[in-house]
Amino acid sequence: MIINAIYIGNEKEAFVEKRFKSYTNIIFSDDNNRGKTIVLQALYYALGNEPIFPESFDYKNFYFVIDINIGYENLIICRNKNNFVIRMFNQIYLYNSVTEFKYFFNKFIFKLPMIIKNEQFKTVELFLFYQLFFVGQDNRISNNIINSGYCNKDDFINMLFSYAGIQNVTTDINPIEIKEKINELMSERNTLIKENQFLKNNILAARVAHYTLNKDAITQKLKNLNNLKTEIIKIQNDRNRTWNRKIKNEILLKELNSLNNTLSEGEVVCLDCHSHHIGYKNQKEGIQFDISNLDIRKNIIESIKSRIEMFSEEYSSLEQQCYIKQSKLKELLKDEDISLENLLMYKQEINQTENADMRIQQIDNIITKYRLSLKQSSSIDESADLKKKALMQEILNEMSKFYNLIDPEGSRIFSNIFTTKGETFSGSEGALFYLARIYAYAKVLKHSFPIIMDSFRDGEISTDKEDIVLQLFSKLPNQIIFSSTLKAEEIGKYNRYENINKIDYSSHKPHHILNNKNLEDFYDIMNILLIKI
Amino acid sequence: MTYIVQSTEKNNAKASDYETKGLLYLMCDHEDADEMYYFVIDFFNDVTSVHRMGHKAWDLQSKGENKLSATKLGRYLVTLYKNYLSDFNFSSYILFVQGISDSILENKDINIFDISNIKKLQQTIIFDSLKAKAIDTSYINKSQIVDDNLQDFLSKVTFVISNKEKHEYIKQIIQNKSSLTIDNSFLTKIFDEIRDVQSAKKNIPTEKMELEKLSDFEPTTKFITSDDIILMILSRLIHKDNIEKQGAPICFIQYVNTLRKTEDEIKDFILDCEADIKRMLFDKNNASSYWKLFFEIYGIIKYNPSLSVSEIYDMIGAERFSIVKHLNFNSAKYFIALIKDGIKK
Repeated sequence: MIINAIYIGNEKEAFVEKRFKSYTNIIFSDDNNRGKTIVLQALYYALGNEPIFPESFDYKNFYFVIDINIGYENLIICRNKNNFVIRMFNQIYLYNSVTEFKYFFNKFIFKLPMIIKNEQFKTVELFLFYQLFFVGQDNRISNNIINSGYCNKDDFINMLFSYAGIQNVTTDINPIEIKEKINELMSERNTLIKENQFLKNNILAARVAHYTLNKDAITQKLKNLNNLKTEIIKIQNDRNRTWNRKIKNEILLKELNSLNNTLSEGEVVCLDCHSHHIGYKNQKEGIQFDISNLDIRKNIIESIKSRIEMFSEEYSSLEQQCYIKQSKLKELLKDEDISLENLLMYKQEINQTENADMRIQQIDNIITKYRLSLKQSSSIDESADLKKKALMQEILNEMSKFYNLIDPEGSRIFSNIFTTKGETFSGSEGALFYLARIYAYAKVLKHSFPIIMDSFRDGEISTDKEDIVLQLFSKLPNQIIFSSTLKAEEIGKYNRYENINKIDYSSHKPHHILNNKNLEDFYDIMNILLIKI
Repeated sequence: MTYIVQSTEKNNAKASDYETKGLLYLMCDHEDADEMYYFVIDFFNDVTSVHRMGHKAWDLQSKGENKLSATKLGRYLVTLYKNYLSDFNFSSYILFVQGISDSILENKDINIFDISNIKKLQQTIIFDSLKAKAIDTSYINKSQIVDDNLQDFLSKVTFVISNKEKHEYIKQIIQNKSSLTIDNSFLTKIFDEIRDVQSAKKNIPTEKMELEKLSDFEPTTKFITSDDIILMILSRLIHKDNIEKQGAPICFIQYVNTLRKTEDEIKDFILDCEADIKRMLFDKNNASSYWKLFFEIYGIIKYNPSLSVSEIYDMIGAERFSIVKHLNFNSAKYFIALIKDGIKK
C-alpha cells in the first residue's frame, strides 16, 4: 500500500499534503506545533485507526480523506467521525462504523489476521493491526499495546502468529475437567444472581428514602448522568439499527430462496384441427435468457451472508460499548453522596452486592476462557507451538540486530517484544526500541503497509545513529513516513540524503496547519467523493 | 415460390457447442458482422444470420468434428447447397468446423478460406460426395442437381476452422469495451447460457412450414438477436460487478444526494434498493419484463449519455417500470444507475 495524499478539512479550512513518495519520507520543521503529528495521525485514522490527536485539535469537526494505492487500484477513503465514504472501481461505498469499514478493508484492501476472541474466530481490530506499522508521538507504551482494554497483549501476539500463518491454538487441556468446572461455576453464578437481586432492590428503596444532597452536587451529577444517558441511548439506537439491518438481510435471504423457482406456464394447443397433432406452444415471449445466472445468484447469496455476519459483529461491538457506558453509569450512581449514617447502615449490603457483582463478572470471564480453550482443544496443531517460538525468536533477533547495528557497544538482547512493567528508557533508548520493533515486524512479516513513526528521533538520537536508522529503513521495500523536529543548528541536515523525500513544515504558522489556501483542493476531492459540505 | 423448412436436427452437446460457436463467429468475426441482427436457429440451417431489414442472409452449417476428410466435407455441404438453390438471397455459405485434415489443404496455416485452398484432387472428391448426398436427400429437387450449379456453389463456399475455447468467444464480444477483469469460468457459463437458449429454440416445431419471403421466419421466434446477446452479457457483467464489489453506483449517489437524508438514512435507503434488485434477479418468472426494461433503459442511455438517473426514469415513465415486480421508484433508479455506470465501464 502506498499513501499518495492526505486531505484534512471542513467547509472553512483545510490542509492538503500530496508530496508523499513511495520510498522514505521525512516531514520536519524547525519547531514544534507545525502540524506534523496531526498529519501523521490522520493517515491511519482515515484508515480506521483510533483517534490519538493532540488535545487542541478537535478531530470530530473535520473530514479526513486519504488517497492510497493498493497495487491494482487507487482508492479514496474519507472518514468523518465513524462514517466512511470510499470511492473505488468507480463505485461509492458507504459505511457508518469502523467495524463495517473493517469488513471492506478485509475484503478489498488486505485480508486481516484472525484471532480467537470471546470464543469466536474474529478478524483483528484495525487499531490493533495498525500497531504493526505505526508509532505515534503520544501514548507510547513499551510494556503493552496502545489502547488496551477490549484487546490486549496476547491478542497482539496472536495476531502476529496469524499474520505469519500459524494456527492459533494452546495445548494441555482436559475437556472433562473443564466441563465440570464450568458446571460448578454456573451454579455458583445462579445463586449469586438471586441474592444480589434481593439486596439491590432493598438498597434502592433505602436510597430513595434518604436522598439529601447538596444542590450543586446534584446538578453536576444530573448533568453527568444525562450525558451518559444520551450516549447510551445513541449506542442503543445504533445497536437497534444494526440489528434491523441484520434481520432485514436474513429475511431477504429466505425470500430469495423462495423466489428462485421458475413457474413457467405453457398451454396445450391443437396445432392442426381435425388431427391428433397436439404441440406445446411457449408463452408469447418465447424462449429467452434467464434474468440472472447461477453464478450471480450464488454471489448474491454470499454477499447477503457476509453482510449478516458484518452486522452481527457490529452488533456485538456496540453491545460491548453499551456495556462499558453502562458500567460507567453504575459507577456514577454508586458514589452518590448519601449521608454518613445511611452509608454506615447499608455499607455491609452495598459491599455484599458489590462483591457479588464482581464475583459474577469474574465467573463469566473464567467460563468464557474455559469454553474458549475447549473449542481450541479440538483443533490442536502440535507443531504450532514450535512455529510460534521460532517466529518470536526471529522477530527478537531482528530487533537485537537492528539495535546492535545502531549501538554496537550497547550489546542489548531483547527477550520480549513488550518490556516488563516498570522498565524505563533513558534518552533516545525508547525511540530506538520502537524503531527496532517496527523494523523487525516489517523484516519478518514482510508486510507491504507504510511504516509511519511520529517524532522518530525522540530523545534526540544522535546524527550518526540516525544515519544508520535511515539507511536500514530505506532498504525496506515499504513506504516510510517519519517526522522530526530539528534544532536551529540542524536545519538543512537532511539535504545530504539523496534518496529521501524531504517535506518541510517550518513555514507553517504555529497551531494553524489548516487554512483557506488549500480549500479548493479539498473541495475538489470532496466532489470526487460526491460529498456535500 | 415457397421455401419448405426441412432437415432440422437435434444434436449432442459438442454439436450444440459448435452451433453456438458458429453463431458467435458470425456475430463477431465475420466481415459483415455489423449488418447481422437476427440469428435464426435450426431453421434454414444450423445458424443463419439475417439483416435487420430481412432482405439479406448469411448461412452457416457447423460441425464439431476434427480432421475432416474431403468426402465428409462434401456431405456436410448439402444443407448449404439446398439454400443455394432456393430463391432467397444468401450472401455467404459457411461451413464452420473444428478441423480439416491437413493432407487435403494447400495452406494449413489459414483458418478462413475458399475451395481454392483445397488440393485439386480433393476438390473433385468434395464435388462427387456433395453430388451423391444431394441425390440421396429427399429435400432437393433432382432436376436442380446440375454440375454447373454445383461448381458455382462450391466456388462460393467459405470454410472456417475454429479451435477457440468457449470463453474466448465471449471475451471477444466484451473486448475493448470493458475495464473489468473477468475469470474464464464466468465467461464459459455465459457461453453455455447462449447455447442453452439456442438449443431450446430448436425444440420449436417448424418442419414443413412454407415461407413466402426470407423474413417469414420471424413469427416462429426461432431466433436470437445480437441485442439479446449483448444485453444479456452486459446484464450479467453489471450485476456480477456490483454484487462482488458491494458499492453503490456513482450516479445513484448523485441522485441520493438530492434527497436530503442523514448518513444513516442514506445507508438504509441504499440497502433497501439493493435488496429490491436482488429480489428482481431471483425472480425467474420476471425475465421477459426484465429484458424489455433493460433494453429500453440501455437504448435511452446509449443515445442520451448525459441524462441523469431521474431524467431517464421520467423519460421511461412509471408505467413501464411497473411491469417488473419488486422495483419501486427508488430501486428503479438504482437499476438505471447500475446500467448507466455499467455501460461506462
